[in-house]
Amino acid sequence: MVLVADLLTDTNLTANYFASDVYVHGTLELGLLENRRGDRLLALPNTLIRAIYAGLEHETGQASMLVLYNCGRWWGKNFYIRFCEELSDYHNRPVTSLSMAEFMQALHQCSLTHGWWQISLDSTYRAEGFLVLKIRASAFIEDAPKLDRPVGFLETGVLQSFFSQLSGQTLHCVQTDCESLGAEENCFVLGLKERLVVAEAGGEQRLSHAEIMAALVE
Amino acid sequence: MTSQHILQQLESQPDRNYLTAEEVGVLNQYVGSLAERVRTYRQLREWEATLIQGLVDQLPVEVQKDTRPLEQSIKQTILILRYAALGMLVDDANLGHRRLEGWLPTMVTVHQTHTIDVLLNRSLNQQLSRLLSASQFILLKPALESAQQLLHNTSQT
Repeated sequence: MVLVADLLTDTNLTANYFASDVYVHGTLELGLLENRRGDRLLALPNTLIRAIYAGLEHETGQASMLVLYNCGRWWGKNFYIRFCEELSDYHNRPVTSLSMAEFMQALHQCSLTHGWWQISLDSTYRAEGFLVLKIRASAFIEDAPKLDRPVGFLETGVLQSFFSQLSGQTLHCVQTDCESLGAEENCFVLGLKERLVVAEAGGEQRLSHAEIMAALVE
Repeated sequence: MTSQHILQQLESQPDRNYLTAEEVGVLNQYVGSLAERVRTYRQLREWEATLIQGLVDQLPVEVQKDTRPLEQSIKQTILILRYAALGMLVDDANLGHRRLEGWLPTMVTVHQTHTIDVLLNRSLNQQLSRLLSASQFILLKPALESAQQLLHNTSQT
């Protein structure tokens, strides 16, 4: 028999930690924007994002893609630690006890509330050892320079280090579709580096996400 | 327009003209109903555990046996009730919907609670309409139903 009183012993039931109207706070007199734990937040103007792209291109040329990718990896690594810390503090249990769907719900809501993008997991190829992540409306891809290849360099880096830490394995990430190339959403495939060689090659030949995935699991 | 909207508007545009007669009327009505809202809120707070336990005890035996989804469903139902109570208190019927919309549909899918949620929430509404006075239930109903809508939005996830 289930006793409601037992379920209410830890008085606060947890729900949507990253809900935007409770997550973002402000101490406006001090010019501070904070999250619900008091960590500082700041809003980035679009022009600054565009300026970073332009400045990098000007100073480093081709290498700017690599720089952004590495920045993404650095960001993803730290973001993963903070994200898990916040979630486990809030739910009062380790992140590993959350189901993948609950974890992804929190990640999706977190990204939305920060205004980065919408993210979802496609587990179709999980059994074959590949994770597919789909990102829509990325603030960074929207302002990236148009190239004849996918331009989610930051996202590629973030996803790679975030999911490497989550899975406890060194994963590699390849972007297989990009909104900047007219795709409906940005697709990223994660897996072991040696198994993603085909994906890298497929990207250079401008194959679609579906074609690349078909080649990967062949 | 609810009093919550009017107050928010007033806060964000303090240099705006005075409120219109209609808006003052809405506020006036809200203030007039505030004692009733606080009373209802206090009752819900006091009844919560007993009320929900009563609903659980009336569930079919086979549903009660499946404790994991049942516990999850109870938590979800309590959250809905709490957000509805708060939404009623501050005259913000969409409060629960707003806070829970990115979350509740996923939980219903993951923990497969839909059937129990429907049973629990249906009897919750019946029970509340009996326990509360008619005017109290009218105050609570919009916030309650708005949050409960999320239980049926699960196909998107």
